[in-house]
Amino acid sequence: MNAQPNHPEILQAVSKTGDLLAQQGVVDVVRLVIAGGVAGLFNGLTRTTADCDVLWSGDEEIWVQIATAAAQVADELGLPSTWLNKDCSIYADCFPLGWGDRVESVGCYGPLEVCRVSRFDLIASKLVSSPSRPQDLADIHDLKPTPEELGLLEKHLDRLASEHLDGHDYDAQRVVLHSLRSEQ
Amino acid sequence: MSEHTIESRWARLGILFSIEPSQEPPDIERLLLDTARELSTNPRLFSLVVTWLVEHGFFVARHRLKHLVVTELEPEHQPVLGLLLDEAIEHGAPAELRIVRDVCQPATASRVLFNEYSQPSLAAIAKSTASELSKRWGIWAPPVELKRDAVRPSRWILDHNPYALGRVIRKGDLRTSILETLRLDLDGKAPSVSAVSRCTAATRVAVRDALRSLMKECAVVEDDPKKGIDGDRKIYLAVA
Repeated sequence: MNAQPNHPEILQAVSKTGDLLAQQGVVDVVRLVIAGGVAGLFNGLTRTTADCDVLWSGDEEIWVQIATAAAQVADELGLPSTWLNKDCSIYADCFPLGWGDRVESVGCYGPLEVCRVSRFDLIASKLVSSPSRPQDLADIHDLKPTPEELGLLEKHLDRLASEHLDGHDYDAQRVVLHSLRSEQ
Repeated sequence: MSEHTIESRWARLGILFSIEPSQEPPDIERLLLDTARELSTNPRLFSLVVTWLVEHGFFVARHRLKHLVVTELEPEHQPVLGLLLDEAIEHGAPAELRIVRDVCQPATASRVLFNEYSQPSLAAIAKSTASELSKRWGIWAPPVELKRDAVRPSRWILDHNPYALGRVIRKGDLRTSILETLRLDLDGKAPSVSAVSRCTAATRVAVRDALRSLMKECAVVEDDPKKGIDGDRKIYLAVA
């Protein structure tokens, strides 16, 4: 699904942030990959929040410039000052290999090229957090993974387990996966 | 989508749900009761409402909420509200909310809070990841991660809910509960101080003190000012 999310205010906020950066003389294209609530909205979830969690691996100085502009826009629109944040970036390793190649375009706003993680990558990240985040398990149910996606999710867990430095086996996530299969 | 969904009511109070805020201003205390009732099937509310209480807990008329818990909230939902309040206080919400938490009763038998984990194998996961606080309430739920990036600032809330200004100025104290009880539950008038006392779960002495203060603020009036608030006079919400 590639519908526009029912939250024009957030797209307006992204657009204004891009405008502000352009006014400040930022000309180089900056890619923002959205992975949180807004990515869920683009994938058809309706009971989610409209904050923008960004997977960021770029230069910290550039991020500060973006976050400062976003906070200015927040003040203008009455949004939380951290509506655009990169807190989820520490979980980037939980995404399946190649997620960066599968991102889908949302649009360009001034120098900001905004993308979102793919449906499969969103489901995979939610599977990893589902044992301790009931809202993520609820989202997976709403997204209705296909049998093919469930197979790929198992491979994803296998890879994460094989690469985990402390030997984490992702048993809880496998139990969740098993329950999803039993519901098919 | 219906403008009366729980999300739309919270959106009107500043939670950044992807939905239009309700057209009607929400009754904050009854919204908290409804949240406790719906939480098991709507887990996203958990961290968001705790965060809202941390950021905006003084909007809550806590004596009115205490009364509504005792008189309206079903026993099976009381541990849920107790946990929401306990988590919020733990994360920095006003400690005064303890007066509400203290009347909530824990579950008689431990169980999962969220229906998503109701299958036995998933229930075992829920139990293993449950916070100590949730275990005390008898409902297994993970520790709350605050979600400040999805709760708007109080200025926005006041712009969209001008009636709530008095709540936050009075920091949700007994005066707030008296005014909100008169406004929302008693059609603007109470037959006596005793009636106000019953509806706010506060002592007559405390209610009399609060009413004296509200009269000085010209927020309430009595039907026979000569006899003073100590006599059982009718109490009216002042017309703004």
